[in-house]
Amino acid sequence: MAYLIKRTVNSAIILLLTVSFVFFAGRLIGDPALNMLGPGASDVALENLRRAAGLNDPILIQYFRYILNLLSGDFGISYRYGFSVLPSEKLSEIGQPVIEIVLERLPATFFLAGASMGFAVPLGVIMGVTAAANPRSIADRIVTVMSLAGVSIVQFWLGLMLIVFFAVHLGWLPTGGYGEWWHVILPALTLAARPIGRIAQVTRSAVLEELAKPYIMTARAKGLPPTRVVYLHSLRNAAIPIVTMIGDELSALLTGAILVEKIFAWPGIGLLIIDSLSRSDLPLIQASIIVVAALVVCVNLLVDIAYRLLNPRIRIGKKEA
Amino acid sequence: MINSRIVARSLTNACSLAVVSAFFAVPALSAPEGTLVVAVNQEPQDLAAQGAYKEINATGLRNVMETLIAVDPQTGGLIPVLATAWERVDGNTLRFTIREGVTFHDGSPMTAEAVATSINWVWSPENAFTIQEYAGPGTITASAIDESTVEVTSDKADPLLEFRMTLGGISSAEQLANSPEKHFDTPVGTGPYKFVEWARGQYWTAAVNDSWWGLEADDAYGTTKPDFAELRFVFRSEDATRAAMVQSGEAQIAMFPSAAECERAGEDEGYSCVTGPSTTYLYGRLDHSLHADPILADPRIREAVFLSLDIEGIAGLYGMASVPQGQLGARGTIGFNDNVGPYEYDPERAMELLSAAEADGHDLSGLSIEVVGRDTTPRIKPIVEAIGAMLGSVGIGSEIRVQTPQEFNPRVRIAGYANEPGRQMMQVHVKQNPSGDYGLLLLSNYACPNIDDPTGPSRSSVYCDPEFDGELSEAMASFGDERDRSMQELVKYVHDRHLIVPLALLDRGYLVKDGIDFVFGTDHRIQAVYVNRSE
Repeated sequence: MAYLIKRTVNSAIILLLTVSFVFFAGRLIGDPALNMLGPGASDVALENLRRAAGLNDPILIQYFRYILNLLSGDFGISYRYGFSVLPSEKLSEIGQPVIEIVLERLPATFFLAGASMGFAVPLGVIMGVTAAANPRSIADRIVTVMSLAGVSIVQFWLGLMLIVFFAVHLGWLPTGGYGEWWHVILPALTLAARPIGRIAQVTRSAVLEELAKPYIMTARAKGLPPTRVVYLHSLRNAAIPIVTMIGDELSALLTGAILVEKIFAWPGIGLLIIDSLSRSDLPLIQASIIVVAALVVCVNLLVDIAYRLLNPRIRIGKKEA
Repeated sequence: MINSRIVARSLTNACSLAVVSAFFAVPALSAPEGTLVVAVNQEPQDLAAQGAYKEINATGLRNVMETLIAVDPQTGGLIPVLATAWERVDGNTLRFTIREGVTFHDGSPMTAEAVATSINWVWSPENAFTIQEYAGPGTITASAIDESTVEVTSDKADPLLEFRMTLGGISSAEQLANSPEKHFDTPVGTGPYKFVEWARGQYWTAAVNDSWWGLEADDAYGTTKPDFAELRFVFRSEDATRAAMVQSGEAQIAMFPSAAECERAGEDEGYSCVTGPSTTYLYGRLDHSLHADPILADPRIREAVFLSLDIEGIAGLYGMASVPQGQLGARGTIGFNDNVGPYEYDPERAMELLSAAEADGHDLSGLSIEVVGRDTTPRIKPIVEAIGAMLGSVGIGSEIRVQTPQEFNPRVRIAGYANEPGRQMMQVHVKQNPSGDYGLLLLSNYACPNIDDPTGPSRSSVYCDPEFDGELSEAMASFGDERDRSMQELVKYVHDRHLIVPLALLDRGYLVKDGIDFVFGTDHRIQAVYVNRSE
């Protein structure tokens, strides 16, 4: 329990720092009202927006009000989403709560991240185990090259190449979009390239280390089938670094989905962030980033908990005997 | 300098003409079927009636939402839509005769009262829609005079009131009264297509309106018979994926491909790139009277700067662009002067002018033009570098800068550049003139700015000439032929003073699947009544 509390407190501190950074960054890059409305905005429009958004108050007052509002689930109002109006006296009446907009987009991002991990985890683990079970073989070398390529490849380029090959030349899959199950294949593959590579690398290394341990020799000496030795015994004990890596990659997927969602017009939170940036919609930008940060923090917390479950010897602040 | 891109563009223009000819030769007769899929570059912010004023706001909205009158994409003239006739009552008022028997997509009749309600909603200063950027000198209101007549009035004389009535869509008054919140995402108009669905982040769709008035009318715009049963505007912000949609057959039209994709369309089979001029210009504005270095007051030096620029080469550098006519307006604009041509490229003459100025005592070692662009302008770096090199080739020094909007914007407005004494700057920038009239262009670019009104319409002008200001003031208040004539004279006047050099008239292009004829004007609207299956 102490472990869980400590990890939760740490996560809350990280989240608070992120919120503070996002809040002050939005103010430090210039006048938020001017950034939202553009350089051609009239003084009246700017003043109306400042008044509606409380931007005339001292920055610390704005900050504490923002934190208190967040705690009550109020992430602010978007003055740019869904209404092409100039800031007027009645601006505060027409905005839409940004958290509603963000929550509307989350399922698409979860689906994409889930599908990517659905490709990445089995493929990465199988590749890693195959390489570890046959060190210095052709299979090992192929896995090494492929995993390195997966880690190094530029997602933007890969996405476009997949579109050209599978959608334009073969005509098997759509160029993008959302709605049917096949829409997710190309974006998920694009997003999965890096986690496949990293999971394969870590799995290979962890399994290789386990395979050199005496208990594996014992298992083999007992005449257990090689597949069972590798997949059941060694993989189980190599699971901790693999799970850690999966957690890391899941966090990276949530943030890395921005580019892939743009390429494939996937209506998730990444596309929302890009749209809100192009419209300089500060409350929506802040809410989107905070929600993504909260998700990443939660995933990391869950990984920490899983880590503890997999290895009960782990204790906070105590060295293992 | 002949550029391969220009050759390619000429070819595509020729193709466009062929496309247009085919369009006129083969009227659509078959029943609407299938879906016209258009890959557009951005999702609309909303689908409110006011958004119809600018295509980029809500691409395709004009298929659902119609206006009283419209600009003909072929001729640039005004054509009837929901009004069958209109007349000027006086400088402030227009009287429209409303088409009879038209119903909105929700079944409510389009009465004069409904039209007036819609106009008042769209142009209401209290609603403060973004269409206010075209609101003109006064507040626009409308009232029904009788069952079929509407009067639209500006509280200040407005020579461009007809143009403003081509902008805002006419929306169902019943929706505005009963569910105004739906007005922003469920448009109810009178157009050839009825709105069906808007999937946020993905697409919006519309289905053919079987009871569209244009099917029976003999003065309807477009082909009068839509070819497609459904329209789907799919949002794809990446150029490459929009192009891929046409290549793979997912879409018939993709908006605004890059110059490279347009060029590739000539090599690939199955689709082509159709380009046409827009109303957007790339121009260079050379500091003049206000806070400028006195050396730029010599007309020979100004002319030498302009003569040193190979405008055809610069337009080629931009990509899809053509050489402009030496003025900041497209042909057909009120005030466009046919006798004003592009500034010539004549480096030898430029050097002669500089020598003459030097002989009269000008110290040309102090002449160094700061060529500045904003980093948000496409391909700005090679363009300002080319301008610097061209100036250098005739012996004019230059400094090249590409700045962020935060740095650039204050320097091109009176409140900012008043703090920069002795400047020799040429700002390289883009400007749009969709109004079809030179009034605002002349006012914003050449009228003397007021330091006490730093957000005024002339805030970006660097020119102060009381004679010009007086004539412009008179021209702005004039109407009809007199307005056209006086604006033309002013266009020639500023052209001869070498204040602004138009560098490129930007083209916009579309990737179009084979078998589709698509006609568009300088406003680049995508209207399905101008899109047909070819034979």
